[in-house]
Amino acid sequence: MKSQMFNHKKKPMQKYIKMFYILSLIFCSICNSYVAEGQITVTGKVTGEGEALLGATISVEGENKGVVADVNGSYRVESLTPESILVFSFVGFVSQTVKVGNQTVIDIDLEPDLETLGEVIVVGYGTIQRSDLTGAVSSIKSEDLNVGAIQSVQQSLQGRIAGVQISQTSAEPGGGLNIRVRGSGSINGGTQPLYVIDGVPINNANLLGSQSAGIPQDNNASNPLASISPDDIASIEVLKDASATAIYGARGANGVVMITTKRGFEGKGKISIDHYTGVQSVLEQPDILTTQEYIDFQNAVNPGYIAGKNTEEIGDTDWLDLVTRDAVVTNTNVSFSGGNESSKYFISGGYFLQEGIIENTSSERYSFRINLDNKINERVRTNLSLTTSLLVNNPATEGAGQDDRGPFSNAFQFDPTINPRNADGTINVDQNDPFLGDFLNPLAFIEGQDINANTNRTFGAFDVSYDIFRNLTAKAKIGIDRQFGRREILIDSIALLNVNNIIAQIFEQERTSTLLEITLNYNKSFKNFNLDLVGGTTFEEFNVRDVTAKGEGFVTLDQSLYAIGAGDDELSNLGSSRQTSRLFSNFFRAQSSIKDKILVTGSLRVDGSSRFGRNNKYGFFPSGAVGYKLHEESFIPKFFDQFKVRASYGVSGNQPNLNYLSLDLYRLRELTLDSAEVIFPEQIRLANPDLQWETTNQLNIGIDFAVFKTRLMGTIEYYHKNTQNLLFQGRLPGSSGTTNSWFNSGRLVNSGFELTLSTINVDKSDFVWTTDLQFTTLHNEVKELDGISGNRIRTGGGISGGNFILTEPGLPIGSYYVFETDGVYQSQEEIDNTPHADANDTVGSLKFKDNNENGRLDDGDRVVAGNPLPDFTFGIRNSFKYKGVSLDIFIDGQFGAELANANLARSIYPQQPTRNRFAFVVDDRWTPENTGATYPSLVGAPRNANVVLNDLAIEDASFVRIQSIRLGYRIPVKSNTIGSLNVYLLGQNLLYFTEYTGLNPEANVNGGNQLNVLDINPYPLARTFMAGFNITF
Amino acid sequence: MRKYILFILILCLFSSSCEDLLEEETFGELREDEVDRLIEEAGVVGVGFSFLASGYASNRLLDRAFAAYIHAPSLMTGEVDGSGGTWEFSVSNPFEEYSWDLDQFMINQVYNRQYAAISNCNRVTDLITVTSDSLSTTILGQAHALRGYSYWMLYDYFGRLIISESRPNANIIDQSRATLEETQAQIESDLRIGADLIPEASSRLGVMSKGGALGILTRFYLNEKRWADAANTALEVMDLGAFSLDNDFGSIFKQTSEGSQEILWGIPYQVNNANEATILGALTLPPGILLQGGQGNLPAHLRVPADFVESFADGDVRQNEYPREYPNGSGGTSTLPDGFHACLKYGQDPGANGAAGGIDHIVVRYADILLMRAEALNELNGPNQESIDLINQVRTRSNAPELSLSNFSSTEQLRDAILQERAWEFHFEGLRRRDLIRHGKLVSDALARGKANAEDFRLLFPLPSAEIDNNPSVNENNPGY
Repeated sequence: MKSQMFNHKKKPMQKYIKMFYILSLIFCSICNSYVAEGQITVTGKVTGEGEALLGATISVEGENKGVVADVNGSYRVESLTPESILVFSFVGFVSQTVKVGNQTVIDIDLEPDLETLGEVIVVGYGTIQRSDLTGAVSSIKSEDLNVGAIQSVQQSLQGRIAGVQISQTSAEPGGGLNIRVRGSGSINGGTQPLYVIDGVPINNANLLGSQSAGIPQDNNASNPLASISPDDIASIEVLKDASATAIYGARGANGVVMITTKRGFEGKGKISIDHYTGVQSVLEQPDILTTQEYIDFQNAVNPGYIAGKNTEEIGDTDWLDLVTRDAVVTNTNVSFSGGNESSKYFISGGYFLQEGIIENTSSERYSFRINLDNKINERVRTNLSLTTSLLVNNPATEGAGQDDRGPFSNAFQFDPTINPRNADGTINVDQNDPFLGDFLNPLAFIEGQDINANTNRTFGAFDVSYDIFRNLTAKAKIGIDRQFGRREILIDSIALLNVNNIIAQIFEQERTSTLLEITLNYNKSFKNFNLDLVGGTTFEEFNVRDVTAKGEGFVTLDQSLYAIGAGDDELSNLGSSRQTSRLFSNFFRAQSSIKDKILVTGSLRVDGSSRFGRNNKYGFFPSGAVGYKLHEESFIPKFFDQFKVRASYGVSGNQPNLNYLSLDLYRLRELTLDSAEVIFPEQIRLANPDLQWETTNQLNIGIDFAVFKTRLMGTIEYYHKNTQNLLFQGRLPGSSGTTNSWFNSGRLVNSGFELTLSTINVDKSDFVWTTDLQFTTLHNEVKELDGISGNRIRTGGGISGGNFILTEPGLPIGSYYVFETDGVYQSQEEIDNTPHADANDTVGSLKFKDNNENGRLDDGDRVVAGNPLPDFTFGIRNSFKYKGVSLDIFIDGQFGAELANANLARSIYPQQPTRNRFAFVVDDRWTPENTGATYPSLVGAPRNANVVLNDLAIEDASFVRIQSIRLGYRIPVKSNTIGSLNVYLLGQNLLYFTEYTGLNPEANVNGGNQLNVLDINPYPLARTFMAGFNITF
Repeated sequence: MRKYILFILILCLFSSSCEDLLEEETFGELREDEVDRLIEEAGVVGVGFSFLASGYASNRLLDRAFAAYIHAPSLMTGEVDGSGGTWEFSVSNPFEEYSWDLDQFMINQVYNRQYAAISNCNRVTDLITVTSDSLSTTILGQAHALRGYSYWMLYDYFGRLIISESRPNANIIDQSRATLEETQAQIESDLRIGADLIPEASSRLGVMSKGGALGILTRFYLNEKRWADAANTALEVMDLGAFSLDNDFGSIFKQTSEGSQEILWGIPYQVNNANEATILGALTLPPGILLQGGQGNLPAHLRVPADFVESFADGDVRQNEYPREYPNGSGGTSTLPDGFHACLKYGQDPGANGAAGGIDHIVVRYADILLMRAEALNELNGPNQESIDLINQVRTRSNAPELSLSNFSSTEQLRDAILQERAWEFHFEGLRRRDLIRHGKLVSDALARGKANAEDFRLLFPLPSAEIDNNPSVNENNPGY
């Protein structure tokens, strides 16, 4: 049995069923031992909204006596008199008191306490009551995170938090996500926030993301946080303003995401089992020409192509259908938690499998966690958080940053009259076919390429706290984050266009981060004055090592990947590298409240980083904030439960995102000269001892309000982030012998408003309707690019069109900069009288504007045609509860973003006229009968590459999406063993409302690279339907 | 306990050892001081050679060197036509159509890489001052010759140059462009010093040879129309006696017979190192051609206009490099569309790894020396028997009928015949652009082919805008850009 369980030849689905069955058996037998028993004086059950409240306390008023409800909410209190008054209370619920009288059974259903002002939220190196907050911090509890097929923490936040934009740049299982907190504060230095898990900042660089044999670099490589199970998360806080982030110094400028995992509690053990299984299917196949349409179109524009085919061999292939499938997603998580006064535990294990909707792609995760909290004595406490996981990814090359690669991309463009397979069942890669000789059969990727990436991540933090005095606590912490990844790639000849070769590569990478930290915490209440001080010192080290082995020219697939020395010696390749970086930091923060009205916070971090240049080893990051609880004043109307204004200002930084940028470096290389191998030093870059962090000064003004007994609560924030000392590479003229040196220059600004609203629309005893809304605006503008060649940055690639992206003062980062179309040429005379793009232009070709009126079409004619940053984003959740039934609808969207739809550009200017393309382009192409067409005649090939990506393909990528609808039902249980049982049905990614004609309005083939945002060959979006349940014992 | 914790805190807060922790530790890469230490250990000559290798590498590791030095000029002259793949759009078209913009990536690479080569040669000329032994003399000579070659390539593409005499240095970014005369003097002096210092017995591929330095110097003189210097320098090469015409014209260019005696100097490519391989061969291969060994094909290919192929005399073996029909992978024959022939001059490398092959870039070969001397003598003396004999040496090798002096009555007539001979002999070797510029025909020929963008200012390429923007002493680009 056991050996079968781990038999890797089994399909994952079967494996999962078996595992779940065994786990269920084990845990059911454990629960049985927890059945309550015994004689009682007063017994009963404490529930909250119908669910057993494990851990609810039942105390007797005026007596030092109390009990705790068990897993079923059952309790028993002895030795009571009829006069005794029982107080039932539970965190998050309104307490109730009941006089015993002559009752012996008292069942209580507690009302949820909808007021969240008192909740405690996590900030850097501490916690704070929400009502005392002076900075911009968004907090979200696990129950409010996104639902559905969620693999990673970031997905669970998408659309939920004002000021946080999360786009899944690749829809591949385990694929990359791009996160921006309050805009984009860097051009080259990295824009991802700092992640802090259970107090330990983690190194979130992609593992295994680099380029390899025959596989283009995968910019949407596996998301490192995918190794953390979202089921283990208790809450997520996003620190947004400088007052909150400056305590993280040189890593705080892009915001900080604090992830807190679930922990044990006092009370009998509770088992919770969560499970869902669903099916994903392609949201919408792109509308390309059908076989008949394709034949008609080719006959019209490219006569002879179809005629040149052997009629018996003309097929009818739906390539998109061949490479996609309906795919399973399933998740099971079992947790066991509980504890007593001195020891609390949370233990969990989970299995997640997401098959991809492209054949032969999947992502799988096994994860375990143990969180232990111990109170050794009155003064000493310890906390342990430990998790380990195994992530198994089978990616496709889709969306991996290169044209003409990937099963879906090739299927999109493939000639539908070609048969996918030969008569003998082998894949048709006949290189004499004019189409196949030039373009790889999509099935060849699926059957000829095998990519397998395994990542094991073990992440742990252990700390000891010691109360030196009553108000002074010292804490020592050690943290380790170790990731080990191995990627294996095997490419058969069929997946290599016109090349006879077998390529195998093994790449292993290890990332180890360690943290040592000591903090002192002082907390004292005086009359009218509270003081909370924290200070500490922390040392972090980050190590990366990798080794790669590549072999080629294998004789057989059987002896290749696992006999990598069997390849052609001349072609084999070995490589390895190691890098280290360190941070040494001291930090301090003071928080105080005066008369519980005025709140003052100040913080300072001194960050030393090995990545800074020799002359700038330490950075200082101060911040200050004040808050004023106006609702404590008499002049504010009484219906304000809360009215707080607050303001903060401070400095945070963004350290260089790569090592060694300040150093002069040489690499030894090998060169063959006169048949002799010569080792020579190649200069990588010149030193810049002044290199430093990017500096962000941020102003934040916020208002928190709650009215009508917190029926309406909200926060409004305004922020202004001014980032300078941006990191750039270059600046040296070629004549200096090298162009590579890093330097700080330039300035950019992000500003915007954020609105968060929570309303309780209806609050009847059996019907509750609540709404949560977040709305965010963003204005991103580059202000200065001094020292940058031409004061502008031109980028763009992946499709022809020249340097079609512009970044310069006055524009947002990465604006599209393209030729402007001016309809279609209607006569030869018109062509002769205007500067045209192309000597081969004919009637029906696209006409472009000579905007600089110099009589020819040149680079000066380009116009700014939008940028991929949205002007505003929103998310809105409506929750309805009627008795045991609940309905959650979550809608989100973005407005004012543009995206380069390369698939559209390629439909107008294909690399080969025989490529398939969007049907709507063909339908509205210029013909003598359709002179008012939007698109050109599609006849002939353009000779001017600069116009290929033009303003027609820069499209509005605004969308509104029904991200999820969840229908749940709480099954009333009368069992002694089962605490609660919930079942649900869920639809995810249900519908997009958008004018965008491309495949994914959030796509970026280049991952987080903002200087080349391009929708080309994206992994297709999936719609998911699933059913799931949660059961507690 | 309390004291202990405080002690640790204080230790870390004030300890100077924490400062050292923030020094970056490098692994597998060298710092400038480590390179200097290597210099001491390896001795000046060894390191000089190593830096010189870095200079060669700058020429070769330019991933598309052949594209910048062979494709771009060939496309500008209509010798070949790019078809298919992203290559057609992004590389072929701008040159075919004379529509390249500022900062065309290949052109910028030429600029940056050649200056990288120059700065590494500068290190060698800095290091080696004493030429007491033959090895250091050779290395110093090679450094001069290689630098001369780099300056010549830059001069040919960009005109007036910045003359750099230092190793890479962030502080030296303020140098103005020299005059044309100064630029020419630098090229001439580097190549001459190099040719004088390099001993006669040296290689043909890779390390700079005496013949290579003299050959490039001949080319420089010819293009400057310094006919007497060109004729004399060509003769100097011929007198070395180290080179001769290869009997088999086609084999000179093929990987299968690397290192022909005809090659004066070339840049070798290797398959076994990804950075030293070239896709020169793969880019020319027509669709579906029967592939040999590990050779791969690319979606793009280059085609040769039929009128050129048909212009060869009957029996001229040079014509054989341009078939219209070729064997395909399934045992049959494929044919290119009307008007086009395949370009198989470089052909396939059976040892290639896919598109990446080891076909060498021949910079200068003996036939060029003969024809350059023939041209120079004609310009000096008018039609003469020596010129005719030199041309006939080249023609008979390829089984083309001999020319006779009696057919040429004027300098112009023979000049045109030599230009035509060069078209046949050096097709797709990257020489045609400057041949036509020398004869004042580049733009007129392009216009005749319908390339309306061809204008005189495009005889030079634009400097990278980084040079204009970051070098305070260079404020203008070449005229027209």
